[in-house]
Amino acid sequence: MFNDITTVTLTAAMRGASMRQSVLAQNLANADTPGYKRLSVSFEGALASALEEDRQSMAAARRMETTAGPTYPGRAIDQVDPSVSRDDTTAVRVDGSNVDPDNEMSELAANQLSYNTVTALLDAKFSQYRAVIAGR
Amino acid sequence: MGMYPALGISATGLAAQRLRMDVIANNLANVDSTTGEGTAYRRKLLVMSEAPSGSQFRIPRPEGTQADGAEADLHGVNVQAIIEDQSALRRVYEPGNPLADRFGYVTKPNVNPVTEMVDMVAASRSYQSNVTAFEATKNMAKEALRLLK
Repeated sequence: MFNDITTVTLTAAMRGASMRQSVLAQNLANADTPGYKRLSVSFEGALASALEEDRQSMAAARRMETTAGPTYPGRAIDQVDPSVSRDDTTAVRVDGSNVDPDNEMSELAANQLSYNTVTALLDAKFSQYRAVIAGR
Repeated sequence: MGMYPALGISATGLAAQRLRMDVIANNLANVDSTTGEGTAYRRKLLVMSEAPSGSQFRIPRPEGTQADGAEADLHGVNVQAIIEDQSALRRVYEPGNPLADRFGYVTKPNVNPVTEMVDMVAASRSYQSNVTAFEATKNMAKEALRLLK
């Protein structure tokens, strides 16, 4: 019941933001580690392409439905996982570290906002479910 | 993966910066500590590295954050060792001092208060940045808990 596209997408985004939070905390904790190379998380691209892929396969499935009954194609959105990568191509300090605390801080603020946005949306979705379940 | 690994990671940063502060305070306290003729206190330095690696200090570490998928194993920061600054010790002319050598010079620590002060500000700023990260994570966890209401 709760595996609709909205809930699944928002959950994937939450997972990604949560992972990013850990990675940003890791970068900040290692801000004074000589030679440390910063980590970053990406999931938005994978999420967007999975959504697009699902949209197309659903459209194709609907076209088939008229002749062969309803079909439920596997969804790409269920397989989206955040990926972590290390940027070891740059250095902003003499000791070889490429952690810029200002940059990490702004990313931290942005990540917190986007996580809270996703949570608020999920909350709204769940209120809809609650309204339906209670029949009010 | 939950929200809590991020809190643990920030905690390692806090612990490491606090230890760095302790070392700096120790250096400043020993700015005039002569330990004998020709020897003196040497400035101590903290060696930080990305965890996990061998640590002789008890820095809180989060449980492994590896989950399904290609997630990195994040453990925050580690203090590898406290080492001594091997730069030359100061020699001060104090012929009346019982620890003076036959030329009248006393060996004093290689601690420069200005350097220590600058390090102290840097450590305190780094500590604050970890506090900010901790706060941000805490707010996110709080926000997520609102879903249960």
